[in-house]
Amino acid sequence: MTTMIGAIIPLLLTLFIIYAFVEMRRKNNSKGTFWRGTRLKVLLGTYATTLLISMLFFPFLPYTSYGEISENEQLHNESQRFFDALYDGRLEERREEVIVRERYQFDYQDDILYLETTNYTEFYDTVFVEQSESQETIEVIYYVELGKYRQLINTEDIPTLRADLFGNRLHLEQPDLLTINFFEYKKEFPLAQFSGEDWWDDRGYRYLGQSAIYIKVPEELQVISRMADGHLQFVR
Amino acid sequence: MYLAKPTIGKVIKKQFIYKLKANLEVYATLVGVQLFALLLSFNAVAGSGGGNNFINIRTNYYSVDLVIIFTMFWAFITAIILTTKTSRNEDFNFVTTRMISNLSNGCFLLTASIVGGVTAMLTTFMQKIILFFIGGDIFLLPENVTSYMLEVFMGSGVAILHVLLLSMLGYFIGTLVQLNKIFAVVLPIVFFGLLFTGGQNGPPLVLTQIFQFFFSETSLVLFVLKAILSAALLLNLSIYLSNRLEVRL
Repeated sequence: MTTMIGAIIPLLLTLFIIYAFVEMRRKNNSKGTFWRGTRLKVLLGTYATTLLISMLFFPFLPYTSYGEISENEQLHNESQRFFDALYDGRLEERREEVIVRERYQFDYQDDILYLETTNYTEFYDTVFVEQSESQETIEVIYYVELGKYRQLINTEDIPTLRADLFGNRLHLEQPDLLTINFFEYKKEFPLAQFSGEDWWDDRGYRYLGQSAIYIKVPEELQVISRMADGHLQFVR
Repeated sequence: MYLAKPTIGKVIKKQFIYKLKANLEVYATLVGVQLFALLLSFNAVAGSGGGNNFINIRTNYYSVDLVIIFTMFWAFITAIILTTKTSRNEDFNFVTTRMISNLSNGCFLLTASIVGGVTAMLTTFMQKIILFFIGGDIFLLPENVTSYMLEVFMGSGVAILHVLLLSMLGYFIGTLVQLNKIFAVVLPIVFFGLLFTGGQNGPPLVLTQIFQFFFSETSLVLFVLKAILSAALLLNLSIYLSNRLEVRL
């Protein structure tokens, strides 16, 4: 708070001096000001009406309560729970949290599969490979967990994974980044003073979710990574 | 012998109503000051961001703190202007004393503080609506809309007291300057002197202590008491000092 006040003091003092100078001159000017009589009343009436209409209109503004995002959640354990479920093969059981954003299936006869990224671009998601006896095809699944923001985001807006099979090479393309902007109310200092909220207080940690690429392959298939970046993990 | 004997209350009321009408243009300045501050408030006061492999979240925080601060400055200047010779001489159109004149000025400043404090807090609704339509971002509220609006109304009361405090300080400083013009030079020197004395190795800054006395008070009741008593003290000091001003002939 003090830092903020310190930063704006020069601006405020400059404005203060200009304003004081203008006001003093105006007061000494017998002709008065532009804003007088009917013109003044119209200005004040318009301003008061605008403030009143804004106040009455405000409750109808679509908003999301921060409380809906954070309450009753063990935020720090969410990420761990996602990966525990993934390793246990129970990810699709978490239907309320986890979305299957994309699913590809390829028939495959070869003994070796090379994983590549399109144009050798960077790859951030971890690729999990499950070798299963019952699996006869290659199945690529893109899992997304939205965390605290799931009720704010339309599933269709989440960029999807692209996977293509060229011979014995499986091309994976890093999904685009979904950018969402929020604007949030910060308590004004006459309120923050009594609520204990400080100037730099954040609303707390928010779990943004997780994503993973899960590839199911036949048990005998040898999977080799040729990705320039990214992690490959085998799940039993 | 008089046909009608005016009471002090009636004279104060008459002067107060006159001042409300005569100084109506100060509210035009208030509108200008608040709109300018509102414009500056469209810069987020803080921001936070986070992301992972597929999502990037950016949150900007907005408040109308600047509008309230600017309104406090407006009240400060308005109060100083009320103490100028031109304004003081206007009072002598009425049968009056210094005390009556000061009390009617006090009533005028209280009214100005109420108008300033309430309108400053109400600009928060205007700001959020404009942000919603222009920014197009998702609007997050800490609680539900009812508690938010209740908070704003409670904040209006506190903002009124903040504005009143600054206006009474301005009135006191204005009276001091009218008493002796040397204060017009001494007071800024004292202000800037206090601003830079003390600090890191020495005792805390005097201005910081005064600032904390009011703005770091976490009890609403104590703050209300502090603000009202300080405003009353400043007005009383102004009345006392103005009695020492030269007599108008």
